[in-house]
Amino acid sequence: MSTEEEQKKLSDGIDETIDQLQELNYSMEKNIDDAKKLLDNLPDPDTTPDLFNTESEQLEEDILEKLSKVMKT
Amino acid sequence: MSNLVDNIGLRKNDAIKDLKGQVDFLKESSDFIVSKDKKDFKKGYKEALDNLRLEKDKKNDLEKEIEGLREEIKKSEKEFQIDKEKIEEFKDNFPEEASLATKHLNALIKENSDIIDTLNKKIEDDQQSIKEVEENIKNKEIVIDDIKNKRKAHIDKKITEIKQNYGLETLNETKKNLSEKLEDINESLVGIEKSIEKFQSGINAFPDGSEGKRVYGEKLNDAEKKLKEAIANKDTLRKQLSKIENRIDQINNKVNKWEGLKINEGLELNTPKEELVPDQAVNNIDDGSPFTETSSVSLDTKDTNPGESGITGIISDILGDSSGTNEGGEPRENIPVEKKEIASNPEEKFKEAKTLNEIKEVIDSLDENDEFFSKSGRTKEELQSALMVLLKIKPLETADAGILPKTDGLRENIIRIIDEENNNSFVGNYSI
Repeated sequence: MSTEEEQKKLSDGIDETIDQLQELNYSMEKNIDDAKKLLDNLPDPDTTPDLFNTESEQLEEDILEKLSKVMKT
Repeated sequence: MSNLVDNIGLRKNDAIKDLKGQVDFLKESSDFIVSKDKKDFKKGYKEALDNLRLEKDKKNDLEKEIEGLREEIKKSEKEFQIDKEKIEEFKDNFPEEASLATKHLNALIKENSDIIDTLNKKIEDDQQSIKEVEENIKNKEIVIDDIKNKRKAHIDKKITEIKQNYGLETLNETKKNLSEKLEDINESLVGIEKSIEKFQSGINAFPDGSEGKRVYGEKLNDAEKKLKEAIANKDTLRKQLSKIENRIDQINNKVNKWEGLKINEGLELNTPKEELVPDQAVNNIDDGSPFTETSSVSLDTKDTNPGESGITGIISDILGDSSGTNEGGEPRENIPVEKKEIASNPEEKFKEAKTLNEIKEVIDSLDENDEFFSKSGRTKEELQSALMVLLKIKPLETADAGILPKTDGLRENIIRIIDEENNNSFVGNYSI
C-alpha cells in the first residue's frame, strides 16, 4: 500500500462496509422486534384452551336434535 | 276378472299399509336420534328411507298393473258389444232365450261397471295417501338440506374465527416478508465478507508497525465486530421466522380439525342453493344455537349426489357417500387408495400396526362392503379421509383420534400409536 490515493480508497471502503453493516443490523433488529411484538400480541394456540372436542360435540348434538324434530313431524 | 280385481285391490291395500308402516318407521327412527347414538340413527334412518323408496317402486308397479286391468276391462266391454250384436241376430227366432241372454249380459255389464267405479275410487284414495307421504318426504328433504347448510356454515364460521383470532393472514404475510428479507441479508453478508477479506489483504501490504497498519487494522476490527453482530442478528431473525412458522402450523392444525369434521360427516355441498323465504319450508325448525344465521332454505331438490336420486341421494350426502367430491371440490376418486393384501381381521391388524400409515393400509385393504364399515357407521372413504386428516395434524395428540369411531379397536390402536410416537420423540429430544 503505497500511494495516498490507494490508502483513501481502503479507508473509504472500510467505512462504507461499516455503514452498510450498521444499517443492516438496525434493520434486522427492527424486524426481530416487530416479529416478537407480533407473536406476543397474538393469542398463542398452545396456551389458549382447545375447545374443539366440546364445540364439535355440541354441534353434533344440535344437528341430531334438529334431525330428530324433522323426523317427528 | 272379478278375482283379478280383488287380488289387485288386496295387494294395493298391502302396499299402502306397508307405505304407512314406513312412515311410522321414519317417526320411530327419531328415537335413535334422541338417544344420540349416531350409528343406530344413521342405520335406522337410511334403512327406513331405502324401504320407502322400494315402496314407491312397488306403488309404481301396482299402478302399471291397474292400467293393465283397465285395458282388460275395455277389452271385455268390446266382447259384450259383440255378444249384444249376436243376441240381436237371433232374438227374432228365439225371443225368450234372447231376453234371458240380454238380462244376463246387462248384469255382467253392471257388475263390470261397479268394479271399475270401486277400483277408480280406491286408486284415487290411495294416490292421495301416496301424495301426502311424498309431500311429507319432500318437506323433510328441504329441512334436512337446510340443516346441512347451516351446519356447514357453522363449521366455516368456526374456521374463519380461528384464522382471524390467531392472525393467520398477518402471520403468513410476515413469514413471506421475513423469508425474502433473509435471502437478501444472506446475499449482502456474503458480499461484505468478501470485501473484508480484500481489505485484510490491503492492510497486510502495510509494513509491520506502521501507522497505516494500526489505523486501518483497528477500523477493520470494528467492521468484523459488526459483521459478527449481523450474523448473530440473522440467526435470531431466522429463529423468529421459525417461531412464526410453528405458530402458523398450530393454527392450521386447529383449522384442519374442523375441516376433518366436515369430511367425516359428509356434509359437503356441491352446488350453491337457491334462497327461499323460511315459510316455504314446511316444518322448518330454528331454535337458535348454534345455527343463528337467517334461515335460508332450498327448494332445489336436485340430486346433490351423482348416482343416487331423491331422498337416498340427499341422505347419502348427510351420512357420507362414496361419490361426489370432497370438501376441496376435488373428485374423491383422486384420493389415493392403495390395494394391499386383504386384511382378514382388522382388529388384529390394527394391533400389529406401528404407524398411522399402517392403520390406513389396513383400511385401504378392506372391501368397501366389509362389515367393519357397517359396524363403524362410516364408509371406507370417510375413514380414509379421516385418517388423512390425522396424518396432516402436527403435533398429533391422542384427543385428535376422537374423530374416528371406536369400532374394532380402531381408535384405541390409533391412540396407542400416537402415544408411542410422542414418547419416542420425547426420548429423541432428551436422550439420556
